[in-house]
Amino acid sequence: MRIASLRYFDPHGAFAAALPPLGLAIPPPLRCVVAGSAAGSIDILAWRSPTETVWICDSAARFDGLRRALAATDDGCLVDQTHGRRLIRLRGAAARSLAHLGSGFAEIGIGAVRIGRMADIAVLACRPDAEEWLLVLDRLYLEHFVGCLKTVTPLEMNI
Amino acid sequence: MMRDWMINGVGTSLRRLMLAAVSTGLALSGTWAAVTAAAKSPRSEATEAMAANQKVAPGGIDELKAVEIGGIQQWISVRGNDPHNPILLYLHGGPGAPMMPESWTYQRPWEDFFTVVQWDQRGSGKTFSSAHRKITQPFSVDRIVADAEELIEYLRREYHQDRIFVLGHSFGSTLGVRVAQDHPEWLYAYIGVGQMVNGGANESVGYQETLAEARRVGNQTAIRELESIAPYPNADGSVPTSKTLLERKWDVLLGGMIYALSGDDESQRRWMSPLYEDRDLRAAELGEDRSFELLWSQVTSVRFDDVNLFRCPVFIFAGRHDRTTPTTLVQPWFAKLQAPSKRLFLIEHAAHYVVSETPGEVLVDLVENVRPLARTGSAGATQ
Repeated sequence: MRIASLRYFDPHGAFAAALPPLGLAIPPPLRCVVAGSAAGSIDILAWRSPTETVWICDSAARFDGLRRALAATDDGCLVDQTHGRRLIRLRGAAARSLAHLGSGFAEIGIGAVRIGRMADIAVLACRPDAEEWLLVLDRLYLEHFVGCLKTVTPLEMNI
Repeated sequence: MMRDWMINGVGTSLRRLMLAAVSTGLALSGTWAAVTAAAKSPRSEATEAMAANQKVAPGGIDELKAVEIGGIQQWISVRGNDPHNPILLYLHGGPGAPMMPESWTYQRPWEDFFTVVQWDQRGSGKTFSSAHRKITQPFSVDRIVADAEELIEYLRREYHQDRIFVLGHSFGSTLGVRVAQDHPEWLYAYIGVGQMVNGGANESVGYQETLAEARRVGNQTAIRELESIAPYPNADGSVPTSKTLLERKWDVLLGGMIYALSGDDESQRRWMSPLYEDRDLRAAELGEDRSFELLWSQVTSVRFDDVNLFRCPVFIFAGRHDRTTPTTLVQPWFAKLQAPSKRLFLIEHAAHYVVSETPGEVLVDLVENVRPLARTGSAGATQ
């Protein structure tokens, strides 16, 4: 899994224009967009702030392709945060119950993003479809976060 | 709002697990610095990582300093990626509950658009710590309002900005309203979050709404304990702190402080703050207790019911589920306000800590609706 921060000041500038050829687009505020179509793959852009989008992608080739494409632009940058962040996927019967552990996360609409609190830490949550919540958090918190989830659910987790 | 009122639900193991995470070599990369120094304390390793993630852009402002305000040294953090951005001064709540040590959890995206100033008020956080944990007299709401105004004068002078934005949260909103009344010519706009309108009504309505929520969810313990302090406030209008503590306990547990969560352990986030030394952490707890003890009767005496005319723009952020400063009190007050421009942002799925519960939504509204005033000269604010 690759996770990157796309940083820019003009969501309509050269940086943003480099995205569509790869089937990507900066999402509107507080929204996420699913770029990949292959079953089971992850290729999602999630709004983080007016100057930042988080890109989550499970294809190394695609990730490197975008990185090369963006290297030529000077009004933004891609920061590879793969080793600094972690993605947690909540899906299945317990997904909604687990989402309730975050403030307002259970109420996130399909295609929406919420930055808020879960297990006392800051988490970016998005819901690309009805079945799944994606949580992006700093790797430093991972053990704490998973520990919290395990204290409230007996279900097996695949993280 | 009060450390003792925020009963932790799930976060008690964070510090221990942070230790484990660092010691097992979960180094960070990207914009993060690698955590390498084995001889350092776990807290310093964690705060170094946080600090690395908070680096401002070249040419930006990143200052942590004490300035003399009201005759004592008071601590501020000033951070932003572009010194040309307007200043946004955050007036924290409590009284005595600093936001500076938690700001690292949500503030960085704001720093692209504002130079954000976090100020530890008299009796709070680093300011209380540098006063050797002693309350410096005079200590009153009036004195803290005067401090706020002195600080704003300093910021305007030091950073060459004629006007700034002031955001007051909870208790800080009592300061903010008074600053906006006294000196509208200093402000692009006043921004109230968890706005206080009437201290007595705040407690009365908050209590009734918390009790109603306890009944709605069928929490018999909550109902019994809340009914045990009736009438709240007392019939003579006084608000005993012992009753307030019990009311706030259930306010927090039933999600009136943080939406849909029964607890929130701020001490964990403070522990990882790159802005606080070890000694500041304990001082923050003590300062919060002392400030509450000494100022609570003044806080519950706040009356803004008839403060309806503002000479600067006013923006209010209110969490739909806020029972700490009930949104049901804020809405009718806001409807009566007269100001050069005004707007109420009612945030769904949020309670009292709107800023840190939904920092993304708040930032969008600030960028789209509030910050443009800094370009247009405050949309009609009058001297």
